[in-house]
Amino acid sequence: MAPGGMLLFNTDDGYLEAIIRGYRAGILSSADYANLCQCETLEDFRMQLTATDYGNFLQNEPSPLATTTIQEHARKKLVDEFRAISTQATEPLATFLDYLTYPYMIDNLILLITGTFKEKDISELIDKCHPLGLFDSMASLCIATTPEELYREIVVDTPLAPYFAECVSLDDLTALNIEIIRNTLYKAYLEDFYQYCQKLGGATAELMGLLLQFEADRRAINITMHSFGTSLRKNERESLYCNFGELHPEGIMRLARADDRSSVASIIEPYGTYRRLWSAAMDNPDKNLEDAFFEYEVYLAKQAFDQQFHYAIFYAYLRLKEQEIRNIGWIAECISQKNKSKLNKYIVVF
Amino acid sequence: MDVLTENAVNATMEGTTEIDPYMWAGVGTAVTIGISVLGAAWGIFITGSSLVGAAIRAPRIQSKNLISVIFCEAVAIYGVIMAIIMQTKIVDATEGAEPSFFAGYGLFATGLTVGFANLFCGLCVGVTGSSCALADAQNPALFVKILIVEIFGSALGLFGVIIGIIMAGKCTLA
Amino acid sequence: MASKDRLPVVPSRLSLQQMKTKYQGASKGHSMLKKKSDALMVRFRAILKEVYEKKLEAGEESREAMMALAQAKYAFGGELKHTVMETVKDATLTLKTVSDNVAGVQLPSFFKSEAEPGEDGGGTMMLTGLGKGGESINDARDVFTHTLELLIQIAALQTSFLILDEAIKLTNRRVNALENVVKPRIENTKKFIESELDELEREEFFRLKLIQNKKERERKKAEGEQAKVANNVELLTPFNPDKFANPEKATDLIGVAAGVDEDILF
Repeated sequence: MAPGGMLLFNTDDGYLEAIIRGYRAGILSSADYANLCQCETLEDFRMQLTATDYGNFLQNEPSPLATTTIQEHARKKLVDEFRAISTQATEPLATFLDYLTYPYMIDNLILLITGTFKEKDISELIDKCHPLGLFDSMASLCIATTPEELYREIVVDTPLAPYFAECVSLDDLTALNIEIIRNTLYKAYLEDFYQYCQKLGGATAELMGLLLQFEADRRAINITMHSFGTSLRKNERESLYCNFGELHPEGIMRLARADDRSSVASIIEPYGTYRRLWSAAMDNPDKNLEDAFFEYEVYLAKQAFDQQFHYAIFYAYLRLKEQEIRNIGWIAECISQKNKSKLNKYIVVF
Repeated sequence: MDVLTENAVNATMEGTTEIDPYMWAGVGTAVTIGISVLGAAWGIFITGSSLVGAAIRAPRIQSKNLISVIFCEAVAIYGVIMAIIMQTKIVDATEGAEPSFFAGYGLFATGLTVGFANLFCGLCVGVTGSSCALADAQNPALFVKILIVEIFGSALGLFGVIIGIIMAGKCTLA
Repeated sequence: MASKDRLPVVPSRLSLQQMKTKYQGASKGHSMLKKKSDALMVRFRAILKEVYEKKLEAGEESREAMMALAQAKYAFGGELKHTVMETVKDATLTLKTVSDNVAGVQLPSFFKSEAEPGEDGGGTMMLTGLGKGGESINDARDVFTHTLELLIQIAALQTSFLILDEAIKLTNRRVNALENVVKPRIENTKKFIESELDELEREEFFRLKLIQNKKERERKKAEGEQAKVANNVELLTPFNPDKFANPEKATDLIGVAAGVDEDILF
């Protein structure tokens, strides 16, 4: 039976789902945000956070508190929670949770590749990697000195090998722009993940479908918008779009030919969701399209919590928590820079 | 009805009459208790795993949400009660008298009715109870509201029991 | 004391003439330096004002830049720093120094010159955040580039400011030295020479007078001899040598005075 089945879901995953929902209760509320915004200094900020689910997570930090420290600790908390869940997960949830860590792995791998090309000490780079994206064979990448060795190491040793072997050849590794490699990998990952979720079926397929389609469309629109005025050619751009999503295939085809912002606007015009997001971003000078996307992502992720007995809440929780860390970072940054005018950019989750 | 089907039906009917009425009554009783307990157990694990998980972050819910487990448990108790009622009907026939086929079939049907009613009741209460635990952990105000849903769910089993008692009341094997 | 206030010269017409030329030179130098100092001062004030304004602006600008960075981090995630740092290959901005001449003072001014975006270097930077956050990252990059330009301007102004400050101090020191030391000293020397020359003149005059008298006396004597011879009449005006004191002694006295006590000018 699909893991979305109401009757058997709890056999393996009911406990973890309940724990995730417990964690979800710890997500900062609008009242918490209102309190945080009242803070004058980062010390106040720390005090306010102690009253929330974060507790004393900053208590061992010496006093001039940096915003990055706060964010780092918040992220560490998320990572701890996620690890607690994933160590207890059984199949197929374990695979699903592994999929959730792949984006971080892609980022880390890209960091390592650029580092290797610049002949940096990889063990130093590993400290900079996102903790969710760590994998066992990372250290062995240190050994690689030439692109060929590095390529072999990646293809043999990393969990991302299938994507890597499929999308990037040895020549690409040196010839292609690293950002293009990153986005190619991400595209392969999203497509694979989407397939996997559809295979799981049930509510998982339905909700993850919505979330991943949005993710794919968002990437397509973002990539199109940011490629104007850069060296990215149109055929390269087209190869970075995912093969699913609300925009697929007609919108994607037209996006591949778009030349400027106004043509993007006219392409997404027929799609109600994106038209709304676009106009929301255009009407409000303080908000750009990406903020609108973030808001919509939060909205979708919140909806995932409305149903029970499916895996999408694990994904949704990760997204919401990431948004929360972004919010905390943003408010802390505003406080430390004493710039309250832009304080309200954060997105209240619950 | 064509001849072939008619023959098949007749053959089946004859086959069933070859089974002893005591057998029917016994299997009926077994089904009552067995399927009811299956429903109760299933419900309890659905509720229980959610309850345990949710209680980690909100320990206050654990005693309150025991009610959901008790509702599931009630389903098994219905089965036990019905099984006890039914077994009083199974008495040894007096010397020379044939055991009643009517009573045999009746007790078998009672068993199926009560067993499946209780199975689905158990599943229903289990799923609702799991939601109840999760909802209560998020917002205590939701507990009573979902509890009402759960009560309606657990009433379903009772309907089966009532019908079962009426049915069983008409059946005496000897 | 007095000797310190004048140059060690032999009082003579020639040296007087030299002093006069020197004095003229000093005055001219003084007025020119004064003008230079004024010119520098004008520039200095202008730069001061500009630095002040730019610094205020830079403060505002950096705040905005930091905000834009925060926004980029918000959109892209905390790893933005590493991602950007690892992809940097060459500097995209370099500085050019052009020097500017103000009243003989070399003032450096800096200009940014954009390096040619390389085949890959510029491209990677432009593509950062392609999938997400690119818009904010571009904003942040623009704001930071602008801030950097402002900082370059400030650096140029600040350097000019320091150099000018030094130059003005130097010039003012020179002006003051000319005005308060060199010129009075030359003036004193001039006066000294003049007075010395006067003294010499008076001495000369006196000596001439003495000689004249002597000659007169001798002439009279000769005439008297002749008259004695002729009419034996005492025609000679009685000359009282005491009235003129001892010319030898007087000369001596001045010589001694001039040699021993330099304070006595007359």
